[in-house]
Parts: sequence; C-alpha cells; structure tokens
Amino acid sequence: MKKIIIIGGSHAGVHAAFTLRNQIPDAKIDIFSDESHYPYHRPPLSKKSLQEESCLDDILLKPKALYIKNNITFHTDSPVTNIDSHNSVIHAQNKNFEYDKLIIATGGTPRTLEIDGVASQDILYIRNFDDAQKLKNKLLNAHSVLIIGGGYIGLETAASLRVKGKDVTVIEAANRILNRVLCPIMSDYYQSYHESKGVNFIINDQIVNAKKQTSGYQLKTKKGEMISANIIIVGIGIVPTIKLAEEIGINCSNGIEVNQYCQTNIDNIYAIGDCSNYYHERYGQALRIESVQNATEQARVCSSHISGNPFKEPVVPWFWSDQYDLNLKMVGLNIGYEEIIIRGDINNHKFTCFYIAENKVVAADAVNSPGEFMAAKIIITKNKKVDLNILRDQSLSISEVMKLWEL
Amino acid sequence: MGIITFIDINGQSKETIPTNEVNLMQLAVNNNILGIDAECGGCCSCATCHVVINNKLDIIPKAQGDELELLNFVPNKEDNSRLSCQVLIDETLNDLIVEVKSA
Ligand SMILES: Cc1cc2nc3c(=O)[nH]c(=O)nc-3n(C[C@H](O)[C@H](O)[C@H](O)COP(=O)(O)OP(=O)(O)OC[C@H]3O[C@@H](n4cnc5c(N)ncnc54)[C@H](O)[C@@H]3O)c2cc1C
Ligand code: FES
Repeated sequence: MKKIIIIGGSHAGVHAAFTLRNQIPDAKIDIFSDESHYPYHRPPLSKKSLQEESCLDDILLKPKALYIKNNITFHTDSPVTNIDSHNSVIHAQNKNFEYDKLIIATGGTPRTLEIDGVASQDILYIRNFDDAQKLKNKLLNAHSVLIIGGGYIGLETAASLRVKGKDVTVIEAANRILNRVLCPIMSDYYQSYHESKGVNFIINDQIVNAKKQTSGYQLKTKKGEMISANIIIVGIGIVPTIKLAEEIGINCSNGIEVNQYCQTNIDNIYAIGDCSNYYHERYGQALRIESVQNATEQARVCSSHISGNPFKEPVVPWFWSDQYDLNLKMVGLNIGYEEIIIRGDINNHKFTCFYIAENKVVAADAVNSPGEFMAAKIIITKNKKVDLNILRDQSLSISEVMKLWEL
Repeated sequence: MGIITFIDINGQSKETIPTNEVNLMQLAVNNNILGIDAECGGCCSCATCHVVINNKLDIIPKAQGDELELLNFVPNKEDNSRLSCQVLIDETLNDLIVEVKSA
C-alpha cells in the first residue's frame, strides 16, 4: 500500500488528495495543515464573504464528512516542521510519519511591510480565514480604510469595503494599478471604475511614516500627502513557502522548482500550487502562478504521475477577479505582447482585451464577457498565427472570427 | 429527497442523496464525482462543472445568459448541456440522471 503525505491543506493539496483517492483506492493519504480549519475556498475572502455575514461552512472546499468517507486523514493544527528525505519521513505533532510519495502544497504567505510608527499587529493582511475574521471584527468600528497595494487582492478588498460604505483609499507604488498583470488600458479602466464608486487613489507614491491617533493612524506619503485611516490593509503580493524544501537541498528559485510532472529534484517529492515554480512545456520556461486553476491543474498532473496515469499538459493559465458588478476573467500569459485589440464596448462594461504577439493571440482579459473568455481560451491554446483584421472587425461575432480562422 | 445519479467522466455511475446542497455542482463535489472540478466554486466563471441532463427536460430549464455564453464555447457541448453550479436542487429533481462532461 502506497503512503502519500501532503503538506498543506488548501486548493492544491485537497484536490491532489481526492484525485489520488479516485486513482489509487487503497493508498494511505494524510494531509497536514498548520491551520485549525478544514480547507476552504480562499477567493471569497476578499469578495463575497467580506461583504456579507458568512461562516466557514459556507466556503468549505468539501464537507468534513467527505474526508472520512474517502479515508483521507486530515490533520488540523499540525505544522510539518521538517522533512527527512533519507528516511522518507516528515515530522509533525512531535512524531515521525513515513511516506512513499510526498507532496508539498504549502502555498505562500503575504509579503509583509513595516511602516515607521505603526505597530505590526495593526497592519492587516488577507491570506487565510483567520486574517479575514480579524479584519471583519476591526471593520465593525472603522470608517476609513487605507489599502496599500493596487493588485487584485487590494482592489477586490477596496470594492468589497466600498459596498459596505467605508471610506477607501488605495495607495500604489508603481505608476498604475495592476501594473504587473494587465495592460495600461485595463489599469485605467479599473481605476476609473473604482473612482466612480468613490475610491480614492494615490498612485506612484508610498507611505513613509505614521502617527497614532485616537482611532487609527495619520499616515504620510513620500510626496507629502496625508491620509487618515482607522485600518491599514496591505496587499503587496506573497512569498512562496519553501523553507521545508530548501532545508533538504531541493532546488528553489522563486518557489520550489519542479519539472512538467511537478517533481522536485528528489524523485518522490512533488510540489504543487502557489509554492511551485513549474516548468511549462507550452512556454518553454518555469513559471510560478498564483491561482486556483493552477493549483488544481498541478494537483491533477502530480496525482497522475504518482498513480501512473498518462501525462496531460496543464491547460493555459486562467484567473478571475470580481469587483463590484465587474467579472473579469483573464486567460493566457501577456508577457512580451506587442499589441492590444479591444472588442466589445468599454462604456457598457462588456469588453475584451486581446493581447497579440507575433500575429498570435497570447492572452485576453474579458470583462463581463464569459463567451469571449471561453473563445479566447480555445484560440490561445491553438497557438496559431492569424489574420488580425478579422479580430478587429467588430461586426463579426467571436464564433464567426473563430470560423474564419478555421479554429 | 430522492436519488440523483451521476455518471462520472469515466462512465461510472453513482447514486447520491442531497442533504443540504443548493445546486448540482455542490452535490457532485460532496460525493467526489470524478470530472467536476468546480474551480470557481460555483460563480459561473469556469465551466469546469459541465454536465448533460437528458431526462426530466420538462423541469430542467435550458442554460441562458452568462451560463449559455460559457457553454457555447465548451468543446463537447450538447443540446442539454448545463453548468451544474447553476442547476438548483429541489424535490422535483428526484431520479435525475446527470452525465458529467469535461470542460
Ligand atoms: C483573498 C484572496 C483572494 C483570491 N482570489 C482569487 C481568485 O479570484 N481567483 C483565483 O484563481 N485565485 C485567487 N486567489 C489565489 C488562490 O487562493 C491561491 O492561488 C490558492 O489558494 C493556492 O492554493 P495552494 O493550495 O497552492 O496554497 P494555499 O492556499 O496558500 O495553501 C497552503 C496551505 O499550506 C499551509 N502550510 C504552509 N506551511 C505548512 C507546514 N509547514 N505544515 C502544514 N501546513 C502548512 C498553509 O497554512 C495553507 O493552509 C486568492 C487568494 C486570496 C488570499
Ligand atoms: S463551478 Fe465554475 S462555472 Fe460552475
């Protein structure tokens, strides 16, 4: 009987466990989590569950009973403290647990920020359920919120808090929000939309220090602006959790390095999800991607490898983000794009940005356009050089475009 | 509440009994039905909960709106394709047979 141990019980680890259970009915499967909760969906933490009364049960990945029913042992409050790869054991709960295959699915932790004058416990992050609870409690007595970082988490949080009627300021160090992930047109669009909902933006600036006030802080920026805020939330990205792997000589660089099967340089140790720097055959390079889809795809790939099922390359990366009534779905990788083609109607908040490189569609951002998103997914996967004038012709529907491209 | 049968992606059939699930996707997830990944958690964003329902057509409405837009580009879409996260569960679904398709 195969013993499989999974470190980290979230999107990646749980998906791997249940996939493996289906593939290897008699395997012994244990998941170790340092959290005290059963696994839950993380995306709602900055979206729906921040806006509404909600409890953990509403967002659980699977009901508790299902772990028992599938003979998957889930250890809560059980951080794994080290791996001994020579003896194939991990250490947790002051005990050793043996494995034949080990899957590291430890995700990441928020990149932290120190602000001169602010006590570190007054700087909030949103990564796990407890973080979100802490924020919700503080919000009860707060009116004004400063969000540091104009990435997805920061902006989703801004939207959720505006919906709740809070005063929201977002400060971004770069010269536009979402600059790491979207083209300038999209950044402008999102900033204007947030502004129309009453969010205040400070761009290309940073907090330098702060003074405590009766309720919250008075903060000063590099350019001399002053902001008052009852609450400070930081969303400036995550740092992959790689310590356990690094300690035993597994190659790490921006995450745990793995091949196309999610294997590390130690054969029976795998890494999946936010913590892995995965070699994408499609792109001929290693990429560390933070998304639910990436976590589930890698879980699938690694499970198939462990159970001896055929390898199926991960589908092109995609991601979604909900802010107000805008549903954004992004697909592909826009690194190195040369041109943008917009279809749809920006003023009506239903449009798609297609990113073009070498006469191919390489990525797309679809706002309130699920059909264009699904079409883009197919187009990008086919990776074919196309006549772009056809895409520019807005009198053609996206399915007609695909027909003309013979896709 | 009666029985709802899923035929998973490998053709295995499995009978399930809803307890407090709101939609068919949740029922599938709670019963570990192979092929329902439900990556977006049911917010009609991913189409990884694609099913085909060929019986009880009188009570299962056709897909519409965003759901239909997504489905129109799912490679193996059929006439009676649905995203299972958009099909609400109630007593009328007794004896339903749900065939899981890949996204
Ligand atoms: C607020 C928020 C909103 C998001 N919104 C979206 C979205 O809209 N769409 C999308 O696609 N993605 C979204 N994401 C990203 C998505 O949630 C992550 O990509 C996903 O959670 C990655 O899953 P994972 O299992 O790799 O890692 P994680 O979810 O980070 O889980 C890793 C787990 O391992 C545990 N762990 C770490 N070290 C140890 C140890 N030594 N021993 C035991 N346990 C350990 C951690 O505590 C954690 O529970 C969002 C994330 C957040 C925080
Ligand atoms: S679960 Fe994503 S569309 Fe149904």
